[in-house]
Amino acid sequence: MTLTSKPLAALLVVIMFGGIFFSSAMGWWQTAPTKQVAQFTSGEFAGQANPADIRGSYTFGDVEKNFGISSAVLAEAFGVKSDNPAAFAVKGIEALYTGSEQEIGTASVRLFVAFYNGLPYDLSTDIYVPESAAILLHARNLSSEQAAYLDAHTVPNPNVAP
Amino acid sequence: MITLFGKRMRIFRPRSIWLRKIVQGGFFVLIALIAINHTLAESGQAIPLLANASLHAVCPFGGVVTLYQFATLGTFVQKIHQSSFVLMIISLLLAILFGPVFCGWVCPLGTIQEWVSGFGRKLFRRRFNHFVPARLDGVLRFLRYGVLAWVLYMTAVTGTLIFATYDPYLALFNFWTSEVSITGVAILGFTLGLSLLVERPWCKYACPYGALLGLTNLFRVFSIRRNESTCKADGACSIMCPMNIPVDSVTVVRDHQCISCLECTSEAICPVAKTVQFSTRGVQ
Repeated sequence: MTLTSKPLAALLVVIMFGGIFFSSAMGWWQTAPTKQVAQFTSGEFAGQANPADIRGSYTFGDVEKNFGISSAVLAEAFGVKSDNPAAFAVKGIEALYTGSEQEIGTASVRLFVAFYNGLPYDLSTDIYVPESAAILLHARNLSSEQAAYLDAHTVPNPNVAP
Repeated sequence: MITLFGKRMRIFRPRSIWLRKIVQGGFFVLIALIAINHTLAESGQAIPLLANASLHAVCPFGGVVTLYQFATLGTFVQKIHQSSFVLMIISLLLAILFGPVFCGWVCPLGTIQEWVSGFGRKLFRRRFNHFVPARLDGVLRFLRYGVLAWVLYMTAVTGTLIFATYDPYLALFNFWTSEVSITGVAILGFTLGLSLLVERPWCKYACPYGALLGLTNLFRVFSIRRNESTCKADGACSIMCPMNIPVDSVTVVRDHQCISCLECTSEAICPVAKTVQFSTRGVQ
């Protein structure tokens, strides 16, 4: 069987766009994040949402859906003053703390969510949270290791009124 | 077609596969519009009825780099979506059937290199695409497998889209955003500059996705096949090949760099009908 450019071009276009159309019909064609975090695959917390998979593109609303922590609590923890905290993107936190000596960003939100919900989190690296977040976390049921880590990794929050 | 000395020959024949250039241009414009619309969508000004996916979402290589994480954790590498996976499967299916047609007919980075090479061909004429010494060229062509291995390993280890920093394709359609690195823009500029001397330099020497798709040349269903009995041995097919494959010295092109552009075939440069064809079995 021999092909020339015309049938090859036709087959190429049909297979390419036909494949996209078929996958779209099957619900496989997703060009945006599903905003569904990965779950712990083993151990005591298997099947629960893993805070380590929170992405900077997620909004507080996405975090709320995945972990059940209200957007208002997240906004309070990170000093976000917004009428609609659910729409605030996690990656936006970094800009609020540009003056801070330690980096406050997406990793801080992951740590906060893990401690808030009593989930395990890798503490081998230094991740900092603002004082407002630490206050909320200390009111939760933290392990001694988590409480000690928090004490050593809290920075003043210039955006939050005392 | 006329019959001359017992042979069917084409008098007025195209010098190139024009339809391929139309398809290439179409995909280039489509991807450019999607990239622009993605930027507009971020400020709430998206053009209606036009896709506004991120560039990562419409790149099949994203599906390849996320394979390890998908297999081990069931998730995608950051910025990669399910659509990349779908495109990876479609492109692989096309490659198994027709070879790396994605490279030769679809990839916008390959297209823009060809456009720049058009100027290079006019500037340097016969010297164009023959600047790199053959021995060095032969070695450099395996460099892209090293790039592929490095990208796959680093993405698996870091769980981030490590290649985005260096990707000239991302730089091409995102140079107006903060997502693009200076390194990516520099590599794009270097690639386009080099395209004045060499046809498709990125594809030949560095493209990790081209490396992967190129492997299908070893077993693809449709291949470039040359009929030795009617071949005039004028070397036109080899001269025309953008990837410098010596088509006139083989009966079936199994070279890992073939991009199925059909420029060497009797439909384009070969002056004898049914001598160099794109077929499933040997030309009779």
